[in-house]
Amino acid sequence: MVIQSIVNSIMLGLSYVLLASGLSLVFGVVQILNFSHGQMYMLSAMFLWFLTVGFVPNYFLAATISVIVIAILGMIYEKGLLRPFADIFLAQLGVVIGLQFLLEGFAEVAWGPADRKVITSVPGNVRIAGAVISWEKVVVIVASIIVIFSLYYWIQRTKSGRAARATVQDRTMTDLVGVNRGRLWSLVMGIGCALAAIAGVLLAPVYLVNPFMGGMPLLKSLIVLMLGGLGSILGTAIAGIMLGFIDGFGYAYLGGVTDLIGFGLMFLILLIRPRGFLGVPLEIRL
Amino acid sequence: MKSDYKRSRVKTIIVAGAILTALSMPAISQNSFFLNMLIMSGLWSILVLAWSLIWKTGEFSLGMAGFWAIGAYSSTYITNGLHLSFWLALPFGGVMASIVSLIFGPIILRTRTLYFAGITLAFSEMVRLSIQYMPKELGGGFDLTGIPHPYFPGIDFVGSRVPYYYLVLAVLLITVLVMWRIDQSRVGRLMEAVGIHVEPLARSLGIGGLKYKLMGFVIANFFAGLSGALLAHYWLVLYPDSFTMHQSLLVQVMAMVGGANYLILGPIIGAFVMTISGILLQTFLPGLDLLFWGVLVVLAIFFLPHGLASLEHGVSAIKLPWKRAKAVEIEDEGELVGAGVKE
Repeated sequence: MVIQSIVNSIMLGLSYVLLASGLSLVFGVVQILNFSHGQMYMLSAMFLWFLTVGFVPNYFLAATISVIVIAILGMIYEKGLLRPFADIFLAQLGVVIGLQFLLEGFAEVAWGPADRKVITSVPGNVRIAGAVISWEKVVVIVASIIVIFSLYYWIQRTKSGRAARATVQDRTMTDLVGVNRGRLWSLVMGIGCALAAIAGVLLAPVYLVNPFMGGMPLLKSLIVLMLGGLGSILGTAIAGIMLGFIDGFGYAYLGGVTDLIGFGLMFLILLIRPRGFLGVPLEIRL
Repeated sequence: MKSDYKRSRVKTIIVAGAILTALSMPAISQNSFFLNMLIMSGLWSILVLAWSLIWKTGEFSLGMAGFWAIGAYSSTYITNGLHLSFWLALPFGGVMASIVSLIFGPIILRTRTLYFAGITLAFSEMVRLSIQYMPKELGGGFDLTGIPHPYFPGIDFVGSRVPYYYLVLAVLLITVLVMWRIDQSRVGRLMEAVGIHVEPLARSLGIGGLKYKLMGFVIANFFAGLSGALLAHYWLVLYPDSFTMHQSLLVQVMAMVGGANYLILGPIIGAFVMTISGILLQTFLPGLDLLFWGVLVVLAIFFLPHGLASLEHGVSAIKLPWKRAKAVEIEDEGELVGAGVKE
């Protein structure tokens, strides 16, 4: 039971890190709190289910296609819907919230509101120290770690990653040194949505998928964002794993009340250290 | 001057006409489906009006459903738990929501703009979960049934929806009146002064940002609580799932469709359009309401950036996005977070 909880916690934690780093990246660079982030997660899982049922029986291939589609969707979304309203606070939030409704409604109309089960290509279980762990969870853990490290590499080592970091720190200055704002934003939005989509396709075989499952991931990644602090992958990782352990053990031993602990922590951190664990000091705050 | 006078007279006539129409609605039809639409629209209108007061102070609150739930459940505790009168429970719902926002407001208002939006969203979810896992004796739980009808000697609240319609209408009119008075008063102008792009300026003039933002937050949530109390005694059953993130976001969608920069007209139009279309779609074309709302709000933002209420200026309010693209580029590059003071 304990080992199982630990594996579950790591799995949850890593998926929170994926979700929250996508949200945090978009928040930092494009400066929009992407309320349809959870819907991207949902859409990728639903699309994966759609693909595995009809066209592409191989889970890994279907997952790749789904992530790419969502990433492209994210780029189109940024360019077509958010760019016209750059720096108009209300309109941007309106588009993001409207898109949440739209995507949820689209998924409901297209695929119906029922719960679906995604069949994975790696059935069976593995025994670790007496606990039975399904291979799906191992896949989630390994794949998340790979993705997180490649994200870290992108943001630390590559040119566009450096531009993204610079934008988080000072937008005006980044413009002045000649970073192509529009292209960077599209790229970041694509990566952000892809991260949500990766979390979605990875968790899809573990849980059931339905069009309304996007709400909780959004809130969880908000909590992680607030706890870890903006603009720090490491902070997000620590906060995500921490929340994963709280939730993993909480769901096993306490039940659904666990969700409250995360929100409580968020308010606590807001009281005592509003910038989060490792975040940069926020200019938004007063 | 003269045209101003004329304009205000036209406005008075329109307002009087609207109130008269609202009063005579039950005379047109007493169909309970029809009245249900109007009552729900009225309840949503109160909520969206409350939201627009918070927006006046420059903050984008996504936690309205939380305060709605607080109003609903605390008033139910009075009638269902303590068996006291509904007329006591109704203000209690509002007062309770105010007290909660007075306690949490200073914490939440440590943040601004997008952070504020995120925190209030999380807060409303926290309220929902707290209610869900609260013991039944304290008025929580997964479902709450057996809420009594309001009782007033000589008026039949049980058999017909008409008295309830008038009750909701009265509360809505009081809300509108209060909002209007705030808008006209000095406090209202101060609230606007601490609004989104000008808070640093207001602070430099010695106007405390927190004070007026908190004032707006508490007053607004009082009305959200009132609306919740009315909702509870209208539905007579309550589920925490009726107050999810979805409802919180719906408030913004309504405000945006109606016109968020209009304090009174926009929210009411938005709430009526969205609620009525929602109920009609849920009844006749189930499953399409979310898609319809999403398309509606995106279209509204593209073509009517100031909402349906801006149609009062005629058709010229309709903006074509491809014509506006240039204007946006020229527009001030002022940062989105311009509201914040750099540390």
